[in-house]
Parts: sequence; C-alpha cells; structure tokens
Amino acid sequence: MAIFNNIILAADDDNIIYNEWIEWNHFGIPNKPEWLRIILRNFYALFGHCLICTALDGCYFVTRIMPELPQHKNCHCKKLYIGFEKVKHNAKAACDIEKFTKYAFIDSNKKKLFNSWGYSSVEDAFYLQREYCKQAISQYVKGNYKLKNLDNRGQRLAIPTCLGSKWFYSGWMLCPEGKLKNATPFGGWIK
Amino acid sequence: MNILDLVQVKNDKSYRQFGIFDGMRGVVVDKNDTTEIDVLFFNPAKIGEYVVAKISRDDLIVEKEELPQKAKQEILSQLDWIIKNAHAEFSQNKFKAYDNVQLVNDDKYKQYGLAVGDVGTVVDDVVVKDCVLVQFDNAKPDEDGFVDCISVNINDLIKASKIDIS
Ligand SMILES: [Zn+2]
Repeated sequence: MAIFNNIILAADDDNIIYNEWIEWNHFGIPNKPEWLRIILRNFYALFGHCLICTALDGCYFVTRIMPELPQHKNCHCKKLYIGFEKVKHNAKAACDIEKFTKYAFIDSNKKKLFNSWGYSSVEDAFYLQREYCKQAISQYVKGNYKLKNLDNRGQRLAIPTCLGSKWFYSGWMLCPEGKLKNATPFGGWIK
Repeated sequence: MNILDLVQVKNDKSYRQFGIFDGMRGVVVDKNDTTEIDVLFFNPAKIGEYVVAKISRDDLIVEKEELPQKAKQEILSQLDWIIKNAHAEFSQNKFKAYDNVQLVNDDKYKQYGLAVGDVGTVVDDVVVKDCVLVQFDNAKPDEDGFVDCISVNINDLIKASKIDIS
C-alpha cells in the first residue's frame, strides 16, 4: 500500500491520477541554507546563468504539471525523481499577514470581496493566514495546482482555495523543497 | 581567513552606512590576510547588486559552509572584474511591498491587457533585473480565469494612490 501511496492519489472527483514527483536541478546550488542559495544565485546572475533555471532549482513538481525542460538552448538542468513521502514531509506554506491587513482588506476590489465574506479584522487575517497555508499544502501535495507565470523570480502556481463554499484560485510562488509563498490571496474564480 | 571563505558579520555599528547589518553573510574577496578584510555582500533587496566593504577581522566569523568548487573557480577567474564593478553602496528601492503603483509605459504589458494609467499593488519589492512583482486586478484573466502577478520594470511605474470605491 505504501508503494501505491507514493504515486497514486484519488482526485476529489474520484478519478485516479498518477503523481510522479521530480525535483528540478540546476548544478551548483544547494537548497539549504537559504542565505548560501541566495549568494550563489547572485553570482550565477553576474555570470549570465539563466535566472529562471536557478529559481527553479530545488522545486518539486508532478511530472504531468511541470515547466518545460530544457528551458532554453544549453540548459543543463535535470529532473531528479523523488518520492511522494519527501514532498509530503518537506512541503510548507507561508503567507504574510500583510497579504490581508495591507492588501486584501485594503485594496478597493479585494476589500469588497473579503468584507462580503465577513473578513476584515486582524483576527480574521490570522485565521485566513492559517487557512490559506493549510489548504495550499493540501492541494499542492495532491498535484492539484496550475502552472502560471514563470520568470526570473520563479514559478507561480494557481492553487484552488475554498472559503465558505466559494472556490477560487490563490496565487503562490513555488520555492525549493515544496515551499509555497503566497503572492496573491485572490487570483480569480474557478470556472 | 581565506579568499572565498563565507563569513558572517557580528557587529554592524561601523558598517550600517553600507547597508551591512549584523548577521549578514558575505564572501571574502581579499587576497591578503590582514586586519581589515575586503568582503563582498549582495544587496538583499536587489538581485545582482553588490558592494565590497572593508570589515575588521574581529567582526567576522567564518561559516562552516563553503562555495561549491566549480563556483569558486568561476568567481576566481573573474575576481578582478567583480571587484572593479562593485557599487559604493546599496541603492534604495523605489517601491516597497504593498505600495500602489501606476503604469506609465505599457509597451511590454499590453499582452496582459494593461494600459498606461492602470494601478496595481507591489506584492514583492525585491528587485530582479530591474523588475518588481505587481498585481493588477484589471489585467486580462487567462484561460482559467486567473489573474497572475507580473514582473514590471521599475522605470515603467510611478507611485500611485488607489481610490477606495467601497
Ligand atoms: Zn536550465
């Protein structure tokens, strides 16, 4: 059963989906510690290495939803196959409280939406912070995400999120070892 | 202390003028093992920008981590060029996270359905290749109905105040 758990998950609609995970690998950049990774990305940027590839380094993807490899001519990036247990163990999500207190509760468009759902206070922001992180990890490890913009900063993901009974996408930056960092709390309704 | 050692600053009193703070990590680029050591620090707020500052040996601790061998070779082969091109100090970013910004040049952003005058919010203020990350609510949604944040050149933006229509 454990072997099957590594690669097969039942999707929410009861369909069986095949999840095979890889870690994107650009040579010469450790995933940890973060400060060393940043120093090396800076040096490689000076030497003209592709910032997209160095941003993707260490990121986990399911093979059916991953950026194109190679990314460009002379791209030496590789995919390293990894087990689902590693993804589940390492995946973490972070969402700054300011995403709500300085953005979603302030921005004229988003404010109306979040207020209509009953969220406006600092306490609500802390609740949403926990809820967003919990849901993002849960969806990501199921391979339930969509690839969005990929640039020098890295790969953004749209992840299904539910508040009340309303389903929408929130936007996340994918970082090494399954770390998700919230970029936007609301990116659009799920069609 | 050896060239290309990774070091951490343990006292920032003398170095704040360069934007160097306690706990900041850098790379020794001094060929001489003297009492004041030339250390390269990257700007945490701007990828690729760096200063080389003289730091007292007593204010540095050597980290146990090392640069990978291949990176060391590449850095050493271009060290003179790297030192020559160092900034005197870290530049200040024009925008900070959650600033409202207005597009003043839409050449590269028409593909997202954006036009001059559109207002968005900075969602990541770290400058990468002269760009910050901005969310424009009025950008054209993609096939999933999703509006993603985009990297926008800082020269194509000015600070704006957003009118609250609620
Ligand atoms: Zn590559």
